[in-house]
Amino acid sequence: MSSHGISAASQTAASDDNETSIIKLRYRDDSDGFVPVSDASAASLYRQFLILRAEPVFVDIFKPIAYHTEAQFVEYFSAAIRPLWVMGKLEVPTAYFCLHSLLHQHNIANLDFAYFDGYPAHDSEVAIRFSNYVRDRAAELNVTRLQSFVIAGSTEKIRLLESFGFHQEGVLREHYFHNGRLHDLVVHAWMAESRRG
Amino acid sequence: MVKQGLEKIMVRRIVPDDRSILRHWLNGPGVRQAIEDEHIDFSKLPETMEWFEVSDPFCDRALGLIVEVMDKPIGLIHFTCINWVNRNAEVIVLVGPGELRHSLGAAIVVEKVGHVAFRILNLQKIYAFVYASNQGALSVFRKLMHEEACLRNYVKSPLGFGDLYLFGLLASEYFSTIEKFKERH
Repeated sequence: MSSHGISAASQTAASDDNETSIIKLRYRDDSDGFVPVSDASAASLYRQFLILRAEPVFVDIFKPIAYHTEAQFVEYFSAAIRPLWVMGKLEVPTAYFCLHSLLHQHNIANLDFAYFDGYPAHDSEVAIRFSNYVRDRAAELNVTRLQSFVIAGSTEKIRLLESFGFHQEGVLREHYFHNGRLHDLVVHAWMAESRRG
Repeated sequence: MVKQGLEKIMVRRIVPDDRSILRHWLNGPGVRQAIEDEHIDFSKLPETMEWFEVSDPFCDRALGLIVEVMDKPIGLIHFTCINWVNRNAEVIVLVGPGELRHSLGAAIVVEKVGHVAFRILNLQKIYAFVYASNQGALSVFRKLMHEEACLRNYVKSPLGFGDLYLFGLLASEYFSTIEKFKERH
């Protein structure tokens, strides 16, 4: 796996350029690699989070949508608090994931993600690469427990999570309002070997 | 005697006169380890007290209340993370006098949580987090709410990792329980 999911060609091309050019090169890259979203470019994702879809793109169990403006979105998803990664073009990504609600004192983060054009098969190479990439990013942040809150109807997403080694820990009944009704949220968690004991 | 007491239970906003009893409760043994509330800062209790008195459930998404029995405060209720879209809230409950924590006192306080959440604030669900190490609270919450999740190895401490339980109560369950109670009495 390439560093941060950037193709080798992009890295070589970017190596002699400044940071701004690196970001542009990354988003011109249509490979299936994820790339981190900088604070400066986060606003380009804003529209994707406002589109009402069958499944919510992002779930925060404690807060309603906390980004009613583009500026609030950028602040809410600042790299230090809720780092984001996208696959494909920033304006029209094919997938994204986020590590949020980082609790450094407990080495915990919440994982949220969406594949906008359908989830990969759980045993596919794409899915395995995604799982490995998320674990690597978690390890960089010293996170040893990843948890995910997914609406109960998102069966493909749940199947994918479980194939990554996430185990179900419960169901939060009627906990999340989306698309006109309340949904149960299924809680899953993955723990690093050092934490399983 | 108990029935007479039940008739005189009330819940009200926290006022400056409550500061000394709240400080006493919050400084009690084991309380710091049992409460994880982003608004309760044990190193800044005066500011926390002020927050309880002025917090606005609509602007601040939090509300602090005192439960009284016959004009005597017995518990603190703190609604936090009130979510007006999901119509739910996290609740932190502290039964002040230690001798009431495993008895009718705890049930009275939790009943008042439901009263405020479902009859006044028009929420549809409340939930609470309880550490596995807090066996007294676990015992009370298992009787009064539904255990919805157990977050394994969630809490990191010098002793290792501990589980965190999440309990939930829906408005429909609260009203059903109250109806059953009325039928029995």
